[in-house]
Amino acid sequence: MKSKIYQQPNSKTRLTFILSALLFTLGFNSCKKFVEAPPPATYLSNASVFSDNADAQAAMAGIYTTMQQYSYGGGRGGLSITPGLSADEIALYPGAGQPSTVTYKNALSGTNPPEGTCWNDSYNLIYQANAAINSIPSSEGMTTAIKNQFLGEALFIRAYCYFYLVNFYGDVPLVLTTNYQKNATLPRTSSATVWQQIIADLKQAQGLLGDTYVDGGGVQSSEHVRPNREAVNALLARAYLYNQNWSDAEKQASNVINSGLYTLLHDLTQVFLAGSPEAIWQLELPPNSYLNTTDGQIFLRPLAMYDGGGANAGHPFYMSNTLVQAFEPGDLRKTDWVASITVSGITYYYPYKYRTLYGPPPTEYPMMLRYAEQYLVRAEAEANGAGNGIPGAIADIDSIRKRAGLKFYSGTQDQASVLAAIMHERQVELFIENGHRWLDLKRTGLVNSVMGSPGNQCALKGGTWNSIQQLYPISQSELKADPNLTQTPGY
Amino acid sequence: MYQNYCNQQRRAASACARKILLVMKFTTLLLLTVILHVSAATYAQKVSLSVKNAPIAKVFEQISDQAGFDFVYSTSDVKAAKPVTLNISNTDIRIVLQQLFSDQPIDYSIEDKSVIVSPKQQAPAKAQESNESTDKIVVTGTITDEKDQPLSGATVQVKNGKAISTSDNRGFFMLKGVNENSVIVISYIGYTKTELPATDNMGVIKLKLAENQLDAIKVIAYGETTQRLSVGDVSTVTAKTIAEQPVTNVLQALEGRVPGLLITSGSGMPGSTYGVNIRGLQSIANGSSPFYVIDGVPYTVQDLFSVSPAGPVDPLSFINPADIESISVLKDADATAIYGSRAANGAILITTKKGKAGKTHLDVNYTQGVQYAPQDVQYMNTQQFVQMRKEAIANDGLTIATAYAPDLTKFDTTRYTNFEKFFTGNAAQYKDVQVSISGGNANTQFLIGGAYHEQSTVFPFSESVPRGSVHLNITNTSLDNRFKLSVTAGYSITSSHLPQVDLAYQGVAFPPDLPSLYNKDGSIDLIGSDLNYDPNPLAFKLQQANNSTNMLNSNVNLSYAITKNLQLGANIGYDKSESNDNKVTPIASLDPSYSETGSNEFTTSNTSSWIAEPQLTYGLQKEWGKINLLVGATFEENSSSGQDISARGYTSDALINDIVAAPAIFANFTASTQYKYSALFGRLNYSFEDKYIVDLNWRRDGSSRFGANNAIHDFGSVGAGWMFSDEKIIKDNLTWLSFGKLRGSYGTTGSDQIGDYRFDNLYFVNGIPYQGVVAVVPNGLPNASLEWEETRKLETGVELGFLNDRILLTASWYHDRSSNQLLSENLSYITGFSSVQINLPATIQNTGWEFTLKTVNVKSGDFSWNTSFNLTAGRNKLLSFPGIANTPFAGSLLVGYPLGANLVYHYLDVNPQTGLYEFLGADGKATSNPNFETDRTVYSNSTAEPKFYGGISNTFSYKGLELSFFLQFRKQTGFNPLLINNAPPGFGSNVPIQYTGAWQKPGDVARIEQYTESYSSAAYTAYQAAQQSNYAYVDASYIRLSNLSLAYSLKSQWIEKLKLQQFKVFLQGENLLTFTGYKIGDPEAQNYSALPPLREFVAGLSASF
Repeated sequence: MKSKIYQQPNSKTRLTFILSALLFTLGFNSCKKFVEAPPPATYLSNASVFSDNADAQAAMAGIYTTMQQYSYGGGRGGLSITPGLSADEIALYPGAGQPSTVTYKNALSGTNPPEGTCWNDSYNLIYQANAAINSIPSSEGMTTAIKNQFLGEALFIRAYCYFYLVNFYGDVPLVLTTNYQKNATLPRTSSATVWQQIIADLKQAQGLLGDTYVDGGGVQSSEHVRPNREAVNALLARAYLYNQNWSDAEKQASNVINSGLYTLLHDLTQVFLAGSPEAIWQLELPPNSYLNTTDGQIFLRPLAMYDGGGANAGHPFYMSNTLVQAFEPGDLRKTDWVASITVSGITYYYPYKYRTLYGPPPTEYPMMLRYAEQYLVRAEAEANGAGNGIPGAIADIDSIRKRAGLKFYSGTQDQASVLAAIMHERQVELFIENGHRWLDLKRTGLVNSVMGSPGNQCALKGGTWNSIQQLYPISQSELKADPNLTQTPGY
Repeated sequence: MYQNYCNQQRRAASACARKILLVMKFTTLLLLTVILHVSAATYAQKVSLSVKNAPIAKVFEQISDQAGFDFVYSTSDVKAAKPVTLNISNTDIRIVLQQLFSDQPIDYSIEDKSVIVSPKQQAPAKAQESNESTDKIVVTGTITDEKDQPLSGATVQVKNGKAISTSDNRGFFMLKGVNENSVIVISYIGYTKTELPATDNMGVIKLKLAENQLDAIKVIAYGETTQRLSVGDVSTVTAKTIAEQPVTNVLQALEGRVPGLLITSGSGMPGSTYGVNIRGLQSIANGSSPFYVIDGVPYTVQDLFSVSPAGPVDPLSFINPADIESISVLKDADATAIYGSRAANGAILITTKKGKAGKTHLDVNYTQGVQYAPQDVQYMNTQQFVQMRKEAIANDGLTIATAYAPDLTKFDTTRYTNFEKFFTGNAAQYKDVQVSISGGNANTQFLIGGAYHEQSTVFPFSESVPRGSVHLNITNTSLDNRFKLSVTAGYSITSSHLPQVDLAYQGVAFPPDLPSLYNKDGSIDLIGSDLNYDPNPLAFKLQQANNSTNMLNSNVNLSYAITKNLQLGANIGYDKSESNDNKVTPIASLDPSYSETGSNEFTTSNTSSWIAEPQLTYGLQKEWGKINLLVGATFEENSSSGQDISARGYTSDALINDIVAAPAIFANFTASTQYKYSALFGRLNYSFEDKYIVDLNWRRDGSSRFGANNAIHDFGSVGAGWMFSDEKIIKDNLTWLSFGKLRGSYGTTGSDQIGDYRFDNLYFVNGIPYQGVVAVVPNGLPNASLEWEETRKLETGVELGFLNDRILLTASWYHDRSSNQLLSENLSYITGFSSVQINLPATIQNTGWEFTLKTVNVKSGDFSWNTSFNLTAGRNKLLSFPGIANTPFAGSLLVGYPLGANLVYHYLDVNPQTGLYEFLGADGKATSNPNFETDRTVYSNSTAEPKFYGGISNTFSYKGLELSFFLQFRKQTGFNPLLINNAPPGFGSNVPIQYTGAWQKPGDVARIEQYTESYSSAAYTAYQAAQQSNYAYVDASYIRLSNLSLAYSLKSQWIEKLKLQQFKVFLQGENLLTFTGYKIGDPEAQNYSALPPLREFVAGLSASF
């Protein structure tokens, strides 16, 4: 190469400066862009999770598996055991640990809140549901059918969680977004508003879901493990019942009963099986699951079978005498849904609704909504003047009694007697199942007399009844973390 | 324009990244073009001319054609020149130019390869100069290094005068207007300053490598300096020190050698990790590892996920220590701020060996030796053990029964096995071979080295851990010395087969009367029920954790001198690691009385990263001082992925390594993350007469680990140094002071060691399918405002040299405050989660003193004795933590106390009546069952950082013989070994003999409470409380003879006869002796039930051909 003679001194240097300056300017401006790393391949970012059907399906599966894994799926601190301990259903072996004991003796306090994580789990599920509810409508990649399905499901889940929150705690913070900065300091919302939200969510879900049970891809499924419109109706019927809106309760329960999708099984041992025709909504367990339901794991290994019931017993729960004695002679539910074991001359009864401990595959699923309840909901609404009135109520009670191998209702036809019969039927049909007994006692106002009067249930358990115990206290750490959150009245 | 492109493509961040790559590629191409141009234009410097009355411009053209020099002139100047007549052949261009311009009205100067033509100096200037008595001359010369290679950028100045210049890429310099009898001073980094009388042609001046360690080159961030000129706090460890130690991980060689650097070895298992910390813990909850850089390229020290029993494998264990030329430890703001967000915890710069010009030679180094576990824990013998067990059972109110005491009923209580010896008493073999060939000429140097290292274990069945590695370096400098290229690559392959567990942990505590672990036929007894200890640790001979790791480190350093003052360069690096593990449990290793199937766990872990750092440096020397300016940018991307899969149900051992043959496969986890990082940085260094030095550093960082709101952040520092010993007043009066420097710096650095994606709102796969669909659940609450933890570092130091620098003393004081701590804040569950990651204003202060003293004690004839001493005393303190009550740290951290100090029970003693440990309750009463919430009333000493630590090394050499030893010491608090075990003495495990003499009956005054073997006994409760009392913290100070090395180098006449360049034999010992008051086990590891750091003895030879 021939070298050149430059007439312009330093032009090379100048050029380099310009080039370098350009390079660094480019570098400078692209700095910020460059550091935006895409989310990890093994994660989905919130931005993308509701962007298409498949990812949204995974997030919805996340909601159900969260339910199944934690307190909504059962077990210690779950929806059956904690309220069962509070009410007159579960007896506790004396050596059981502290958390169960305070619940059992109705001696809860801010420093001794109820065992388990129901509060935490509810709000975690509500967070997930809120993420879905807030993101799905604006999703561009999801199809309309799946959007409707998932939005309906998420609204239903949110309502289901608030149902338990409002019943356990009374006024609770009503969280409808995922913005933690805003939510972290929310105060309690009046329970009336929470109920309004529950009903509004369910009404919206009614319009979004169909009667057919489907899977996450919208394809018809033989399992009843995602809520359909009847599940929404069933929960709505219950919500109206709790709010003494008898006519709407009757209407919604009738919707379920008239849907023709469910049957009351005459073989009681089949009721809690996976895919049971009596299941309005169950939670699926993974097919490779070694163990069946967590409630089953608690009850099917009662204290005596395990280690003589020492202080370390992991399964110190059995059925209270009150509950055992509530069954009428010949009640198949006592035969098929109650089992017993005798240790040192004492017979302990334990629930036997879930009958198998081991899989795989699991043969039983946690029951979230059951058809039989709808008869009792409608009966109660009718007994209070809705629908066909007292005769209708008796007919519905008899449907349940007939299946239990009992004679038809033969008591007087006055409202009080019929309502008492309904309460009794609820006690023995829905025992130790998703807290029905505890919530029934509370909503009917029976709680103070059943638990409270001298010699009554609370005293039997070794506690002293105080009416404030109807609602559960919130843990101190929650109050500390949210300065606007107040303790449950009375605590 | 480019910005617009980015904005339009808002969604396509990756497209943007690609674009940058493109830009970089383009830049590289540009560079290459320039290089080609340069090579093509490289001609001889000799010129032949034969012209008669030729216009001078024509002559320029001829010279230009021949020599490749450019002529820069203005036409008007040249018009005035006289025609030229010349007849010369093959003459140096400089002489040609002198003749050409000798009688002309124009003058010239040479800048690089340009001849700049200008009109001759005007008369007035001449008149001014003529006032002075002496004549002015033009001084020229060429500066070379010790190997005759030209040194560009050397400083040439007139002593006590103003004229200053630097040598060009050919080493040539010219100083004009120099007084004839003045002295020229030539200095260059790493070389001895040379003073010569000024003459007009000084010829070739060969500089000598600096002998004074103050002038030895130190690698710093994006450059080099010397201790003399350094403003920052940088400590260096050289290859020689590393070579004296038979270590597999270079960190081990640094332990105790560097002030402010605290290294703690974990266990004696091969590949185990080291705790590394520079100047105290800076972060409450996040990483405090230093930033590692190898040859200018950041090295990701993410522990590789591994099923190895030693825990995660330290990536530095894959770097062959013998490939390392030097290590610089950067500590203060001045040294680290240019690394910005990643250097809050200091930086460790590793420079690998490079080829050197000269005769090609072959270096061979062979080392072989043994390693032992120091058998320094004495366990109870059978008699003592049986006595303890009987007392324990009696204390618990039980009677001896086989159900819980087979050791007393079923075993032969006269039998005794020393299980410590049985399991860890074997010699591990150590073998190390290093071969390298290096050499090259003036322009190209190379080094290629291969190493093989093998290490086995001290367990009863020996498995070896081999590591093979290659190291390659090629350095090329263009003929004109303007372009430099250095390519370095290292590749290592390690494969290990180790038992799944640390057998020391598994076996040493067996009851000493345990029946033989072998069957009568010599096979391993696998029937657990028979042995009462399931599984038999010998089964781990078959139950192995296998790991194979391949690691590539490569980098390219480029630089091009655009002009004498301006240099464009780039560091480009690529690292990759692949690790495959499996943890096999064959049927043959399982109890045959159960029909069990085999299982295997397969783990893979891959990381890769690339980095590109274009840089521009500009240096200028004038009479007003010297400036060096560096600007650069960083683009970096790291990806890692891994998975862990369990395979169960194997019915045949033959197929157990085939995942497909497993009836049941379960994915435990998969992970894939990406980390992106970019930065702009700059440094301005100004020095005046090498006496006053000022440094400014700046960095603007962007990291993908932070939220969108805070992705960009600035860091910076200012530092200054004053060579007060160069002041005339000191020079004249304190003649014994040969060197004196004061330095100080202040600046900010950050730490982004918080893991990837912590700011983001992510859903992760929870592993539970629903209706056959994989489920994802939210990972936590996002926080788009997450940002760096920030550390403000303040340091001052004084460095003194006495007696011609034979005594060098440095003292530094540092004061670092780290704030903006990234922690979790408690939230109410109504938000969906109980906490969120947030920056909290908690401030941690680390302050301390560091001293080093290096002395040449004796240097007479053949004998010399050198000593080097360092001492560090640091204090860590949680200075403030507003709002601590609402964090998970309430109750575990206390403002005003160091991190690592715990709120504990106040221990009293063993109650002579109850025989239980007793504590002072909050109510002032003694109790053996204190309440965790209320009775913890005192703070323990922190175990996180020693009160002080350091080391002292002595080297004696006499002729070819060299002896050196290194002692390290630590004054620290450790865990009381008597309370380390989960269970108190009395359970079925053997315990050290220090547990004898427990309380037996009321009235006994004892140090050990009554034995127990029940989890529900009062003694167990009291033991657990003691573990959370101040009694659990004891003095664990020690002095250790860490290293002893004796080497003999053959004398030169023998070497010549043998046609060798060098021949050396050596003996080395590591971890030889420990002096400590710590009673059981190693005071550094503080866990006598795990394999302690091993003791090593090796011998070796090295030869150079």
